[in-house]
Amino acid sequence: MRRLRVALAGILLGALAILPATVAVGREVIMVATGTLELTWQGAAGRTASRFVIVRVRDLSAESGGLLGFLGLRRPPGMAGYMPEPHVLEGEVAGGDMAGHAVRLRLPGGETRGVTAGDVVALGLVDATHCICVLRVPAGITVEGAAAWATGQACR
Amino acid sequence: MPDSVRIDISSGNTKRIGLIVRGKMGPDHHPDNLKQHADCILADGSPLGFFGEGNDNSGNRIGLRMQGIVYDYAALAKERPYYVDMASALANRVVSTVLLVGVDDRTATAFKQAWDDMTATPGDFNIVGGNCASHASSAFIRAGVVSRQIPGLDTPDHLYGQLLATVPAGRRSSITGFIGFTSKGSGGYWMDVTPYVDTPRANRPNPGSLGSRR
Repeated sequence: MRRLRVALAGILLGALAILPATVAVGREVIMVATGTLELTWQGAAGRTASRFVIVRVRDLSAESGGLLGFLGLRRPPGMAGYMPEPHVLEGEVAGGDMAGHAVRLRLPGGETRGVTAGDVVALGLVDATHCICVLRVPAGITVEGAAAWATGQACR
Repeated sequence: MPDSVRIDISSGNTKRIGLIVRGKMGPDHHPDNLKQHADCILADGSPLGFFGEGNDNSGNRIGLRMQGIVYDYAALAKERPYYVDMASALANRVVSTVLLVGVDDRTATAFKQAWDDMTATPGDFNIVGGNCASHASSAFIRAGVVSRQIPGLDTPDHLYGQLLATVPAGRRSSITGFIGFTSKGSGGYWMDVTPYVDTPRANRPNPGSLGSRR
């Protein structure tokens, strides 16, 4: 019996070891589990960005909504995840300790600020996963200097 | 674009409470059922509303058995900034129609109490029969503004219609536009509105671009 219990415990621990880290600690390790930094857009609500992630935009386009969107069954405004004219920004961190990581941000169409593929943007974060602004970095600013430039801009 | 106006919801002896129908482009526009949302305004001008969150049961994706939650101004500013910030409403082309109803002190207090109770015990959100309009309706019933549930489907627009049919014309007013709220500092909020005028040829803002007329 004891041998059986030890074997079962071993199997359970082995299974836990290979489960994605997200199961145990939530969204903050999504990047570890999937290789993509998944960001959630929020209104600034009086907060300021605690840091900026500099991203080279690969694509920014209207969200398709999948099969439900195709059928005209998008989320109604009263449900979590609703936003007007949802868009998806995808790109790659252009510098710093997360350089090379993929980034994905879903945001309202009115907050895209004319950003297009190929632009470099500064994403203002209030914590590990919440983005409150997208700032297009001007051509004259280097990737290395972009975060410093962003701190002087209105991020809301 | 017309100039914005600032409205003091309640001043002096005049008290008003309100219903906000998001996606309703004018008093005569009737948005699609899934492209509208109801929020309310307390007598001190505070905006708030009932939403569905969470992902703890099957059916969440289509709006069944979600966890209900009341968003006050602070939560709306994070989760739905285009509902409380006029600049964000303009940027995201979010139009709302507001119905303000004149009430006495007791009614205003009962309306607030209904929302306080819902905040403490929100219960579930269900897209049919337990949605934003159902909960806004229950607050209007508790306050005694209407005596019955919403006729037909629980939609914000149907609640708007019920209030129009119930409250005498001299005790209500309606305004449509891009809506925001600004703290008075000493408690309560002003409502800021950039008016929007709907026409049959208008390229309607989102949401509700497919909204029908009747």
